[in-house]
Amino acid sequence: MAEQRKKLKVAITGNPNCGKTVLFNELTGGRQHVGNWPGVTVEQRSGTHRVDGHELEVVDLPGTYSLSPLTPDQMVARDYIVSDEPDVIINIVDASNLERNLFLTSQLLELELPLVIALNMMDVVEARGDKIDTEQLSQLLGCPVVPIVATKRRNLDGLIESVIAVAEGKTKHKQVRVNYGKDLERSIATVSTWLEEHETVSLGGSRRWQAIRLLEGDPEYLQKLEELEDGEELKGLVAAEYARMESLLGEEPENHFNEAAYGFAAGAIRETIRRNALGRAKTTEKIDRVLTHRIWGLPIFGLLMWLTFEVTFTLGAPFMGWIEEGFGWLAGLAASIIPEGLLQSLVVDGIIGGVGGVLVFVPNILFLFLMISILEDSGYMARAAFVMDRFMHKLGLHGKNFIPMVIGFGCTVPAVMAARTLENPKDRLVTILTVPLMSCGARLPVYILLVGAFFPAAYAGTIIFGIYLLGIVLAVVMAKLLRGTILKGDRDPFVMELPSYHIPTVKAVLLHAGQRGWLYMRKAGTIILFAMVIIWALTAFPGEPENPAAFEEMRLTSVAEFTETQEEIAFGLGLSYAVEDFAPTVEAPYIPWLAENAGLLTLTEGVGDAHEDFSATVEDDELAEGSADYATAENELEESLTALSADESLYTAASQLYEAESRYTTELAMIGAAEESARLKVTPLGYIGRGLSYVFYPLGFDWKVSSALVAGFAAKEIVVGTLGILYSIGEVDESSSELQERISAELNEQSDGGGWLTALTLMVFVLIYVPCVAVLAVIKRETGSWKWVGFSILYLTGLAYAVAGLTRLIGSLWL
Amino acid sequence: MTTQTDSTLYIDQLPADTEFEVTHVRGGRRAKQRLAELGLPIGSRARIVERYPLIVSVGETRLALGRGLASKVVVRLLVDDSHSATSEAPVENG
Repeated sequence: MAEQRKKLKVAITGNPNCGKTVLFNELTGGRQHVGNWPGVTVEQRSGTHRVDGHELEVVDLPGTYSLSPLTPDQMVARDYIVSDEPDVIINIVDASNLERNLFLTSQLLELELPLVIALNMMDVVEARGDKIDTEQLSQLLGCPVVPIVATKRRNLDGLIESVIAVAEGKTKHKQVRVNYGKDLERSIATVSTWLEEHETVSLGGSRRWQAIRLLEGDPEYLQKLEELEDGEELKGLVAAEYARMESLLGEEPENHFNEAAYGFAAGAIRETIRRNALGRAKTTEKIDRVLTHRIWGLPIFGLLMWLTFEVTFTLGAPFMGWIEEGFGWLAGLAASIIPEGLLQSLVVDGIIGGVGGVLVFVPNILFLFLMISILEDSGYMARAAFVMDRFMHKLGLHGKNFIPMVIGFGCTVPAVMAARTLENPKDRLVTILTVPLMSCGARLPVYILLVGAFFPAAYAGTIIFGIYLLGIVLAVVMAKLLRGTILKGDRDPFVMELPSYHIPTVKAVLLHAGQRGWLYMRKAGTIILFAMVIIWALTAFPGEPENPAAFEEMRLTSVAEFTETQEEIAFGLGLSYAVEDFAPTVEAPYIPWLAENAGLLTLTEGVGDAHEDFSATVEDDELAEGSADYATAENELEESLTALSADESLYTAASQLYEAESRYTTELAMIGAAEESARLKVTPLGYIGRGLSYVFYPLGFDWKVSSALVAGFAAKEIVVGTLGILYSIGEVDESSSELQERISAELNEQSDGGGWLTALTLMVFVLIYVPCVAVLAVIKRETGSWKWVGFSILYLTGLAYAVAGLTRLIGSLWL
Repeated sequence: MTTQTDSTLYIDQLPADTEFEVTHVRGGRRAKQRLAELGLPIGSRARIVERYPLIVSVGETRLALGRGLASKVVVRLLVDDSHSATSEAPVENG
């Protein structure tokens, strides 16, 4: 049976918000494939539906109100219907809003292709008490009309039966045409006849369809004429007919085409619907009174945006933590299995680090699209754009620009993806290009570090807020500038349908969010992984600094000092030992008799524990020195130490040993960091940093800062960590006072006390310059071209240099 | 159709709850077509639901119009001769 299945190509088309995607999901279930239509960033969704003896390949076309495309989505829908010639087209129609929906149907009829009408949302019609005579409607439209309720799977089998019957020619198809009236029909006939006489000429679709498109002045069809051999003749004919119609009608003929199509729809409705005379439930209108209220509309929108933001980042945070932990564990495992060396470094830092870097964004993206799906499916998104339009219009932006901008404060990756909700491709591009200017969460640590190091705590908040504000202002200015120059073009006439409010189905929302997440992992993920491995390679070779011996020597000196202290302690305790066979190493610095004196070791451990408890309390509760709580903690430390001091001489020895031990560990860590810093200096990253430091000289950045900026290309979070290594402090986070002191000392020294200005310049630069690799990967995915990736890199870095330079220039007035 | 040129009335000048007919759309083909496919072609009748922001009800559809576009849609006020009869059922042309 299975191999006998006949394949059928079925396309689903219909207006936005008529349940098209629900029908598609119900028909195809999990057997779906999401991709992009070739050449455009419009999602292509296809799937299969199997019934006895048939395999239906179902394509979900983008929602469209007509076959005269205004947006790339609609262009895709039309091109597919006209050129790909599916075996059957399912035109899904919102039965509760027939008139507007039948406008598209009237155009589909002109194409003379096998058509089945799925009359959806019959439950809404029934709830209103209206009756639709589907038999009669089928007669009038000349094709099968199947009433369904997609959300409840009602009569989907009936729909499929009809589709198969039409595909196999079992249903007789009556050709129904919209009558455009005597004047227009004559012109249509003239052009059709010409096309019939020139059989080789075809612009796609039936002759009547082509004639109507040309006479209506469809830009794409007129464009196609230019490329034809006999195009000139046909063009002349069309122009003459257009002029004739215009003079007869006294206005543009396209008005009449539209009017006739609506007349056709209205006529069909009059004959098939019996309306319940009772008042309609105006729930949607009532909800709209609140949600689009001229005063309350904005705060409600703000609240929902805040909620979206919170859900995306707060709910996403624990998952991100788990992913990070999981990969940390995996890295540890790999490090224990693979012997130390280049391979281990590649696997642990390059591959596991890279894959982790990709996956860590997935929770954010899933939650964001979960929220966007809910907002979209419920019908609120249309209102949101409209509410914001009043405000954004003044800035020369579109209402829908606002959503990606808000998301951008969290993470630029999902923000760029959120630009999908914009219909106009130019608005979409402008949003994608300016959203990186909204300061994302990963940049915050850099600000915190620098503000903490150079500015009094009282100004910290204001300065960071100022940086964020600068980002917003730049985004708006750049959006306006781009829209007025390289992305100049027609603004979409702002009119949109406010669909009835629906409660979104869990299935649709989950499917939607899941597919977006998967798309991100598959496409952007591979690019990010690749880039992470490259950046790893930039910092992995060579494996050691120019003079590794010097660091080895420093370590041996430390060991020697530590051993000496141990000997002194032993002497104090009157212990005897034999040193003959003992040569302390970095790994085993303890002299042998220590292991034999269990009492001393236990006591030292106890002292260490007491100190550790103390620092843990201070750190966890963020106790300030001098505060009452701090004093309490100090007292506790004192007490636990006194409790240990029963044997005074042994206790003194233990304290000394503890101090020597911690000094030794710190020294080793510092030597390690210094070695890592020296090693990085001779890696490609170090060389790039040193080269760039000449370019950055006017901004006051040295090679260390320059290298950190290059590393920040992988992810902005990395900037702080890299600075930590380069300033020889080892692994740090932004609140490390040690790193703050070190940076502040070095930058101040370089610029005679002007370190704060360098810091400010650096913050401005970090705000604006190249977004991280993940963002660039998403930009590539969303725009479909490396050109815009290159443009983003160049314009953002140029802008960063200019604005940072300006900051330095203005700031130097205070120096 | 646009006979009265003396005082052109635009859609954004109408008070809430009035019914009107679209007589003309100033501006480009795109605006006209977008309006038409959303259910507001020349000659269609509709009702103002709200003025700020501008929401229009055509048949079963509610449309939101941006400021820029609203100032281009020329309308004719429908004196409500059959108001009571048409207010429940969607208004149809023709």
